[in-house]
Amino acid sequence: MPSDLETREKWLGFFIFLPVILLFLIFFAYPLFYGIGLSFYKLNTLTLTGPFIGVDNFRTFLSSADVRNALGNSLYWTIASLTLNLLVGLLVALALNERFPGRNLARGLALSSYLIPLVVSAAIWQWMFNPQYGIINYTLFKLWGILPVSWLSDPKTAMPAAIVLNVWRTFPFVVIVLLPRLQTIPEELYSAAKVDGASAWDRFVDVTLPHLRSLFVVLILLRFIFDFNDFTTLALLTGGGPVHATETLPLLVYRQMFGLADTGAAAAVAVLMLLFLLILAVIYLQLANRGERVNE
Amino acid sequence: MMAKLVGRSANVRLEGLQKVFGKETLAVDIADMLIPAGEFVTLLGPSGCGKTTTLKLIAGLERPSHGAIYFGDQRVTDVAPGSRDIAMVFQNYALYPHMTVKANLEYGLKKHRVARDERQRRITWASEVLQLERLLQRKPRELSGGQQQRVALGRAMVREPKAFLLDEPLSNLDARLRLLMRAELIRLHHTIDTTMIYVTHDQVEAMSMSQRIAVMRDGRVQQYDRPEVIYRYPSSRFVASFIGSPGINMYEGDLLLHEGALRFVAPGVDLPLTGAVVERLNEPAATRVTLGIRPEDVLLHLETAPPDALVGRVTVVESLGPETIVTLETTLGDVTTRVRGMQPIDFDAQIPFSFDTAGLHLFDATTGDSILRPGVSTNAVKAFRPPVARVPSLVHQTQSG
Amino acid sequence: MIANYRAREGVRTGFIFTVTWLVVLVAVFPLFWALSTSLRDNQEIISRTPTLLPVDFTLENYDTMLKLSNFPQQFSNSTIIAIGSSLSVVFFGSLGAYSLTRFRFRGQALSLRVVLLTYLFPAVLLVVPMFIILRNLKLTDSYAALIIVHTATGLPLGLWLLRAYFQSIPIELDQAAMIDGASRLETLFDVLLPQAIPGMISIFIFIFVFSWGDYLWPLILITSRSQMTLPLGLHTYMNDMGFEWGPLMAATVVFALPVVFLFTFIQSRLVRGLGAGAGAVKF
Repeated sequence: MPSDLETREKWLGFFIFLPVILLFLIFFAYPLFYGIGLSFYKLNTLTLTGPFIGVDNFRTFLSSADVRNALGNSLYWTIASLTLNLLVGLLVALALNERFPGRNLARGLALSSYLIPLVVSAAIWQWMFNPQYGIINYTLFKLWGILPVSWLSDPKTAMPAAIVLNVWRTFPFVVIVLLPRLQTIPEELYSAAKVDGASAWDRFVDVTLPHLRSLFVVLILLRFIFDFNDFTTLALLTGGGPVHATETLPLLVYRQMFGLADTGAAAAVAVLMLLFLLILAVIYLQLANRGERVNE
Repeated sequence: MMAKLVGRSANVRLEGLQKVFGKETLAVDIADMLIPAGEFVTLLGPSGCGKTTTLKLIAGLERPSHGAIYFGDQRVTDVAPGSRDIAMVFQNYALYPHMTVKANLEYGLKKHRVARDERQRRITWASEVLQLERLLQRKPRELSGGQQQRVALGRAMVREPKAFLLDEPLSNLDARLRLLMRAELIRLHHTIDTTMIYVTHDQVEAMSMSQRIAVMRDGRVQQYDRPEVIYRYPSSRFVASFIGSPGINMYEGDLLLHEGALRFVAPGVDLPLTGAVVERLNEPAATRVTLGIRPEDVLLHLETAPPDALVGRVTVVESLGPETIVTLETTLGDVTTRVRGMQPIDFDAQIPFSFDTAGLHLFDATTGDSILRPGVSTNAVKAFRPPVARVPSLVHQTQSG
Repeated sequence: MIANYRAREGVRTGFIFTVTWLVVLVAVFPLFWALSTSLRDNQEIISRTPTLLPVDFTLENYDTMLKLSNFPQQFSNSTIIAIGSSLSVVFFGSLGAYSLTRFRFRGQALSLRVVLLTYLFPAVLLVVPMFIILRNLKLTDSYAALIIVHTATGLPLGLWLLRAYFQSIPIELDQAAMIDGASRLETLFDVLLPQAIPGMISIFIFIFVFSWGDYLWPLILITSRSQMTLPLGLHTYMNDMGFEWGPLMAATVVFALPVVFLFTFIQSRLVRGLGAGAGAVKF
């Protein structure tokens, strides 16, 4: 039999939590279901009226070139960014784990690109990528005689250029996650491995990596989600162009809603994204957990 | 069938070994030290004395600032740790957390390209000796401290190295386990017969397990000899007070020649020096000396007292079971003594006591060095094997001859 | 096998040193370049042979920027919204974290998981309905709108981090306060919050930085010039006629300043705080 005090406490706790619950309901639950509902309509953005069309939105997607293009771009963008981020992030984390003069300063500066507002970074990189006056083309020409490239206007180079910006901006996230763990690996383990005759590479694979494995699982999941859902970076840098070469799914949602004025379709694409992510996340976590048990 | 590793051991020689940290900190300064092949040698000293650094230098985990290290005839100063054919047991075990016990044991062997059959044979042998058979598939985090320690030991054993290096391997174990493992290590050394270099700050461990102890302080070796010699003939005040528990009693006083006899004079004490002590006396530089006397050499006269006995007031009585430690307050200072069994001794009682002058130690009050010559030939490099049935004991010999 | 590893150690440290400072260079260069560009006149900017530092220093770009666009207004808008959102997240987050860690009621574990789940949401999914909802509430184009959505976006992170913070404060403190006669809410304000100040500061800064740089929501919700925030303003300027790189770079430098300032303030805290909870920061 719960005491009077305990019962009262329970209600107080719940009561205090209420604002959070309310905010959540209003800003996530409601819009989520509302958005899912919207996807079954053909709505005009300006007037917000339109007929109920059931799953028609989704059916057109199967044949829609736009959707296929956006999906392809999304995967390109996400997987390339993710892979490069992990590589660069790991290398930088390893470097920052060592002690050398000026390390603390270097640590602060190396990770600063993450905190600069995206608008600023996008603007600066646009300036740097400028075909005629940008510093990148100038340096490439000066050092290696490479002819100027229209980075952001050439469909072939636009995505790689955007990925460079993305990795430049987000690799600190990987470093910030990996570095604390690296610093907790006891020096004794490396000593034991040295005495056992392990080479530097051996020590990396057999002592360092096992400690990072669980973090990598988390990182891959998080970065995939963030990059897949990312709208702002590409919107600011390329606007989805040239000719939709960098239009990922989020940008397609925006274009559907405000460019093509079809709110229903926009919602449908968004729902599609969510489904895609959920399925991927479930599969991924299953694989990751099974790997954890079987391995080693 | 236990395999013997006789003949593989190397002796380890340190020559002019120095290690400097930062600009000036001289952590290790050993002019010349030989660890004979197959012996169990302990580096003993308080924290910061340089013993662990010395061990790391021998392992190759640190590079010396000056000097050289030899394994047998081979100069190994520039050889990587993995190539020195040594094995090490770490204080915190340093087991690879993501590998099973078996994989932990096997790792060093794989890195040294030992053939699979041979690896298996050694692992089986080590598991038998250390009773790890049932733990082979477990991961380190599933093991208790004692089990982890045995795995760490096993990892070193399977390597069949020229020398074992052990860095305070017992300090993370609870008291009971520590005792058991000490016996294990002694037995192991007899079985394997390989050079063992052991680092500890625990003088009981050092005394019970080693054939030779190097007492270190501030990077230097104060005395390097057999445990008995160090105990009976400490070369300095530091060594005398570091070894022995309860610690040695120390008193400052003067050495005076009076009525034809050499006497130690201090507040309330006028002690004539006799026989063996006088024979061993070096010409002291000054008359001010420190007298050292171990608790077991302080005789408590509970029944009849000799006429020249001193008297003290009982302040602390510790009944330990097999013996009782008694502290007396005297004009000289506090005197600690030990008596057999559980004696009924009252606080504040005035009890007569005297010093067994055969067990006297004398040190120069300024330098701290002993002014007595050792009573036996010391530092003999000939290998000295303690009797096999040596039982680790907490209680040192009392009233020995 | 004799291996000489003495020299190798020195080379290794030198290599790492070089690599690291190279990375620093790459990370820091763009902002430096923006600063450098902002300090040169248009002649130099469009020159075919740019130099690292301007030949002639000039502040005219800063002048232009302040006068031409709505910069000061946008700056203050951004500031108000960022501060408002940060304070809200800290407030609601503290309440939520308090109830999650110091009370027991049903649905706690569920709430936590749901909080994590919200991170899976594409912001764009919420954009569509939120736009409609806020428009119906006639809340678009106002401070309130942005503060509300920024708070909602930042609250999961705030909850997560503050919960971790509260958990590390020993419950004995609460118990001491209650024995001393404090009510539950008093315990929160007098005992817990003072202990959690470092955590609250960190979150304030994270949310501030997020809100300060957010582009998506202003894009959707703001239409009138006077209500624009800096990110939106900057980007709009880039599509304006008479757009010049010089003033833009000047604007970006000023825009980035508060963040740089805050960043140096929390430098070490960043590595510890984010690393501890594998914190997901949604910038």
